[in-house]
Amino acid sequence: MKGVRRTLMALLVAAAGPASFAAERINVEVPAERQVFFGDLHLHTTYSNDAFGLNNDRTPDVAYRYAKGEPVPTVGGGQIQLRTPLDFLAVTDHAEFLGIFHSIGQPGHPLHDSELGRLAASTDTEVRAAAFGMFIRALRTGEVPEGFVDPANTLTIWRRIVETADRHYQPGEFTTFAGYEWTATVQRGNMHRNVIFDTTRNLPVPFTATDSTHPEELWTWLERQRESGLDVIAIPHNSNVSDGRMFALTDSFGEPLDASYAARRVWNEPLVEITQQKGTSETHPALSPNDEFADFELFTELLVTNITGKVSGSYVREAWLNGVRLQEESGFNPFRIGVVGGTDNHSGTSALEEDNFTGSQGPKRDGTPELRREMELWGGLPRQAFSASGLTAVWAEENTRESIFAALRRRESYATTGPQITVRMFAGWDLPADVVDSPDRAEIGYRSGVPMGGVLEGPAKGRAPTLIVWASKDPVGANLDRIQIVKGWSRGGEAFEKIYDVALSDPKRRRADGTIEPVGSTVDVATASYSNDVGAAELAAAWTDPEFDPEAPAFYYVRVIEIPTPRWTTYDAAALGIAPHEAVPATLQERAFTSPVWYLPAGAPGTVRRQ
Amino acid sequence: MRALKGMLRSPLLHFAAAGALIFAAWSLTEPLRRDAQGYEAGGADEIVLTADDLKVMVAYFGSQWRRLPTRDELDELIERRITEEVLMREALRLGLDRGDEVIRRRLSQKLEMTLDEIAAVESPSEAELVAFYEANAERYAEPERVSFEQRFVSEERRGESTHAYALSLLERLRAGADAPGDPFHLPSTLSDVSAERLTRAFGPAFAAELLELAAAAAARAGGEWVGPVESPWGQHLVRVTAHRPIRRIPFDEARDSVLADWRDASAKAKVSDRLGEMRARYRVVLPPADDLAALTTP
Repeated sequence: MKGVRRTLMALLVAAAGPASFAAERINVEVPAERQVFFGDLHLHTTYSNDAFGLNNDRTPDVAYRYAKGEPVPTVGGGQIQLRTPLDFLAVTDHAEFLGIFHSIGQPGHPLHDSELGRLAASTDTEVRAAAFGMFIRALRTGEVPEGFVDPANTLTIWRRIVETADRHYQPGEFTTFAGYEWTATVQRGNMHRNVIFDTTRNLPVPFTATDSTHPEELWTWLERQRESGLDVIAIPHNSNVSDGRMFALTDSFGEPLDASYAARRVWNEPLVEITQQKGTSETHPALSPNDEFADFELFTELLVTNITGKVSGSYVREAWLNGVRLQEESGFNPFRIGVVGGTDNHSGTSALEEDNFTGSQGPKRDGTPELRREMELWGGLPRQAFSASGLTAVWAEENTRESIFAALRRRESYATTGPQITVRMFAGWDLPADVVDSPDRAEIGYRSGVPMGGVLEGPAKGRAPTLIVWASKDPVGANLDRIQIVKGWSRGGEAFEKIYDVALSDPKRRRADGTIEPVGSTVDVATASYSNDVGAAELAAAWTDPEFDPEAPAFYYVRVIEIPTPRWTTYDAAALGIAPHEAVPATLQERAFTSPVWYLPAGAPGTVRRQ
Repeated sequence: MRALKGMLRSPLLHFAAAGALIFAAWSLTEPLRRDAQGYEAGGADEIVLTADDLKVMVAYFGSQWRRLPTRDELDELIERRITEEVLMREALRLGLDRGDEVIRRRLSQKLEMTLDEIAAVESPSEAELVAFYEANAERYAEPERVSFEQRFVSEERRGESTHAYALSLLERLRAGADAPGDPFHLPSTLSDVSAERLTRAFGPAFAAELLELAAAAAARAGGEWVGPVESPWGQHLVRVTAHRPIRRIPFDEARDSVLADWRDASAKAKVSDRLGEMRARYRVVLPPADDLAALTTP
């Protein structure tokens, strides 16, 4: 049986391979005119059974209204509203038993009068939680309650989700995506992926973790869907709680990675979600001991356990490092993937603003500062461990489904931990250092280099690559501390990383010994306030790699760091007139992470011979 | 249960689900008109299912399965309904409904949800729709849009000379010189930008000032360089090339969204109205205010 599967996969790779290289080279007429658009590609509503179990009745309609900036009702008769609305949103409900709890809670459903149905119809938070608990226990013992496998219900709810996405799509103003979450958990390791379609027409019924918990089999399904003319990608998330499985150096069957695995992976999963409410997955202090910013919004307990997950295999930077190492050793890179951010909120509302945080678990669970103060998570974690994060940013021609999806496809994307920071980056061989001072810098960047997400190929002609980068603060947010370039490379079968501070809010902060004076904090914890008296509104730099080795496959990505601001927990504490929770820092430095540019030595496998 | 499993496997037939729901909604209003004990037809020991009752059951079935039931399935629905009726009457006879918090809450929730569903499928008259459209005019409008060129003067780059530089740049632009200004993260020419997008991209203060300039420019044919207008990053010289105020979408164009919004609003209003009506049938007797105060925290 396994032999058959392998053959089938090989055939599919053969079919998908050439197309992937062709599509990576799409040229758009005026890419310099691309603008940045911000959105959330990961949000749950009442049709996710766990969100329903959290007593959240918000529908996708509410989710889209909130993202567009409309006020929506919350617990206690109040209303919540985003200060800065989003440009796009994908509702991504858990596809397993999609919406079944919502449905059995409605009178008229065949299971409405069952024990689970009675519990599901309750508006009481504890009763709802009990219903969900019963369901999870049943799943663990392999006894799916009768009636839960309900294709008719799945179809009804899926149609409703897709129709709602369509109804809220306003090309040019607000983009929606049809999507869902494939929720595979393997021995407590989170292997979850969001599946995002480029269309809402003739969509298939979701392939779920009950169909298979192997990502390779999800890819096979995605590949089959593309045969009908649509495009679809899967975006892994919460690698931080995957127990080392998300970026493991074997496939999910335990087989070694090879070139066809790499080709399939990068085409089916061109991106990874690097930050969200359950932690940031960029890197970990144990992996990056020399990175002073590595210790950011970590979330290390495997979900609903008190087990600390395996670090190696769980973080994105390490995967990028392993990718260039495999590139050097074996000629393929399974982790040539860009980044996005998402909230993963289960409240039906994308809460991203620290100073306007309205909870991530549903209005009745954590909709008020009082509720957020009381609640405990599993394994002794306080509710305060959750982050008000993250956001996807794309460089796209216009705010349409086609344009944004194309940007995701070519990895011209980055993630932020909430603020709408603008950052743009190009890498090339012939970029003059003063180009960042030219109003035509983007045009020059596209003409003489590749943007974030791209691949820069040798020959290096005895030169080192130059990166040009600029960043602007969120128009209603905090100033910027610095721009960093994170480089990773592989030489002699070993991978290395190094961080360069390429732009500082004040050049005088660079000390004689090369260390950097901290930007300083203006935060007043008691009143949860800060000022923009430190930091810079804009930063820009041109940087040529001083230690470039033309033989070493490498990647470069940009990290933009904001000045310190109060964390959402500090705003809550100020509202309640109490001290902030001790388990979390009172301030944080929000940030943006770009998709890398990869350097591929001339003649390396995977380079494309020019005619 | 075998029949239900069969349904799961059977292909979905096209079924006029919306029609069925309206039907169900009409029928569901019926029990409310019956007296408190319900079931006016038939005595204490008689269970009567009328044709209308069956239609309701079939409609519910249809809303779930998107088709009519087979004869076997209908028999099963009827059998289940009779069993339910018998158990309910026996339970009432035993007084199980009194003093049971769970049953009380379940009954009230069930009625509330039913009311909600009724409203969700109602069909308003054209006049009602038009009135709703008029009352919510701001929802059915094309946003205000502006096209403009801008040249940026960076505060980070120019520091204290920002304003002076902006003024000299303005002079050059007005003289027809091609002065690009400092590099900026947004394009120098922006077309048909909505007021909302402008606010998100440039910040609220810049957006408000530019829209004001645009309205004024439209009044005097516009097209000249003005400014500087301040943004979170520095100062901008701007030239408005086109401006379109908010445009109301005609009713015929907006009809589908009006209907969806009407149903949404109507569902909420109807539930609240019906609760109000039902509530009005009762005289509420509560303990004196002092006794209530003793039960609460200030």
